[in-house]
Amino acid sequence: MKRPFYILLLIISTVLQAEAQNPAWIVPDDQKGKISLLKFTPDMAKQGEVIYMKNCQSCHGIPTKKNFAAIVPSPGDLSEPIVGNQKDGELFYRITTGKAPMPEFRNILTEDERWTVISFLRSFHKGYVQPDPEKLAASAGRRIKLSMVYDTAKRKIMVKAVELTKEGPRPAQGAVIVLFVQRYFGNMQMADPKTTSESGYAGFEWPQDLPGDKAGRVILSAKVSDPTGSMQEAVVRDTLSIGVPTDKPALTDTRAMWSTRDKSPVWVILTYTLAVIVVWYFIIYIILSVLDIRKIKELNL
Amino acid sequence: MDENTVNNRDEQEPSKPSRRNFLKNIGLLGAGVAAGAGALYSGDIFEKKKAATGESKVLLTQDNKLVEVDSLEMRVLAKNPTKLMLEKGREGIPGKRWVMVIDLSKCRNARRCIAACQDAHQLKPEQYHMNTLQMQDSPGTAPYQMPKNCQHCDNPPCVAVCPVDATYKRGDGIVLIDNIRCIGCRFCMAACPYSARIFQWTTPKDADKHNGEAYNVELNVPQKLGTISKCLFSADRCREGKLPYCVSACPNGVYYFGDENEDAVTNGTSKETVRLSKLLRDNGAYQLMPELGTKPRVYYLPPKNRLFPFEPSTD
Repeated sequence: MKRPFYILLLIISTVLQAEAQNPAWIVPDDQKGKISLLKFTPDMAKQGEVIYMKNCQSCHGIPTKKNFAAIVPSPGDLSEPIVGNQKDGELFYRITTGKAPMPEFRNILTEDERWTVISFLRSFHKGYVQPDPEKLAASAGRRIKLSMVYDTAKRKIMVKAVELTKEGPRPAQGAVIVLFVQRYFGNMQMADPKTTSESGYAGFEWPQDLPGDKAGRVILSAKVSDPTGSMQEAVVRDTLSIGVPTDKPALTDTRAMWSTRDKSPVWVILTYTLAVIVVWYFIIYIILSVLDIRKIKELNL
Repeated sequence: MDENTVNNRDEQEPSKPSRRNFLKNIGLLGAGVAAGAGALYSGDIFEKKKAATGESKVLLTQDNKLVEVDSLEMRVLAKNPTKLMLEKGREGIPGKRWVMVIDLSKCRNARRCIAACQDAHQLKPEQYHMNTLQMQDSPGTAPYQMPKNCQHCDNPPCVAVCPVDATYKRGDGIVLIDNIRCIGCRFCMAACPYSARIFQWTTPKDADKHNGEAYNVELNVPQKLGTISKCLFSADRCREGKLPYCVSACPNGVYYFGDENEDAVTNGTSKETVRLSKLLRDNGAYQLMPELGTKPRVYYLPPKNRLFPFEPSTD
C-alpha cells in the first residue's frame, strides 16, 4: 500500500522540480495583442501543416495524437486547451523567441510563415474565433515604403522610410530598420537595428572589408522591425557594388604535393623526369656495351 | 543460234539510250524526289505537332537552373547515373571555400548531429563521421565535450598518400572519397592525424536494401564493404544551398557553417548568419594540431562560459 504512494510522491516531486528549474514563460504584455494581418483559411492551415511537419513535429508530434517527444520540460500536444486558450500574440511570441530547449524561429521562419503555423494549430482549437485582421489594419499598421542608397562620402547605407498616409507620403519617423546582406546560407544582419530620424532616414555604417561577388556586388535588404505591430512589414531589396571584389582561385588551382599529377610541384616533375632519363640512359648504355663485347668476339674469329 | 542472237538484239534495242527514254527517267526521278520530300516534310510537321501537344516538365539542370522541357523532347541519357555523379562530385562549387566553426561552450552532448549524419550516410550506430569526444586538457582543467569530424585540410595528408586517386580535394575545399576507385589499402587512415576516417570492415548497414542503387560520391552511399568512409561536409546539401545534416540537426547552436570567401557563417540552430572573421577574432578560435601544417577548414571556439554542465556520456 505504501509503495504506490512513494512512487506517486516521487513523480510529483520530479515534476515540481522540473517546474522549478524552468521558470514560467512570460510573454510581455505589449506582445500579447499582436494579431495576424492575414485571415486564417483552410488553405493557409494546409500550408502551415507543411511548415509544422518540417520544424515542429519532431518534438511536438502530430496535434491530437499526443505523440510528442519525451523531453523535460514536456513539449506537450499543441491541440490542448492550454495552447488553445492563449492569444495569437502569445503563440507568436513563443514561436519567435523560443526558450531552451525550444529553438527560436526568429531567423528560421518569416513572420508570415509563423502565422501560417498558428493558423494550422488554430484548426484544432475548438471555439477559436480569429480577431478581425481588417479592423486592426485600419486602426493600426502604418504602411511604410522603404528605399536605400549608398552615401559614398559618409560610407553609410542610407535607408529611407516613407509613410503612406491618406494625405500622401511623408517621412516616417521612429521606424526601426534592420539591414541584411545576403550570404549563401542566409541573410546576415549588418550592425544593430537603427531608428529613422525626423527626415525618415536611418544610416548604417558600411564595413569596407565585406566581400562581394566578382564585381563587388552585394545584395542588401532592409526591413521594418516592429514587434508591436503598429507598422506593417516592409522590405526593400537592392544590389549595390560596394563590396570588396572577390574572385579567389579554387583550392585545387595551385600546385601542391598532395594534388594530382598535372598539379604537382614543378620540381617534383623535373626531378622525377630527370631520374627516369638517367636510369634509362644507364640501361641502354649497358645493353650497347654488351653488344660491343659480342662484336669484339666476332672480330677475334 | 544466229536467230537467237538476232532476237536478243531486237529485245535490247528499246533500252538503247535515247532522248525520249532519258527525259522519261528524269521525269520519274523528279516525281520520286518530290514525293519523298513531301513525305519527309509532313513527317516533320507531324513531329512538331506532337511535341507541341506534349506535357511540359520543369527540371533542374546540373548547374542548378530550372528549365521547362517538353516531355516528348526529353531524351534519357544513356550515361550511367553513377558516372554522372562521380564527374559532378569531382568538381567543387565554383567560388566557394566551405568552413565550419564549432562552439565548444554550447555542446552538451545531445548527439543529434551524430544521429542525423549516420542516418544520411547509412552508417551503423558504432560508425562515426562526426563524434563527440570527452576532453580534459590537463588534470586541473574542466572537462568538456568536443564534436570532431574530418577537418577537410587544405594540405591533406590523406590525399597525398592515396595511391589510386580515390580520395581527392575539390576546389571548394571538401575532401571526398570515390568508393569505386578505393582499393581499401587504408594508407589514408594511417596518414590522417585526426583519425577522421572509418573502414567498412563488415557488411554496411542495410546493404541488401540499397543493393544496386546508383552510387553517390557526394553522400558516400550506398556504403561499400572494404572501403573508406568519412565526413563529407554534406557536399550534396551544400550544392542545394542547405546547411550540412549535422549542422542543422544540432539543438544547441554548436555549429556554424559557411563560405570563407563570403566571410560569413550561419548557425545551424538559430539560422543566424554572422561574420566569420569577427566570430573567430572575438572568441579566440583555434584549430586542431595546426603545428602539423595540415591547414584544417574547421575552427573551434574554446569552451568558456559554458551553457551546460559537463555530463559524462553513458554510452
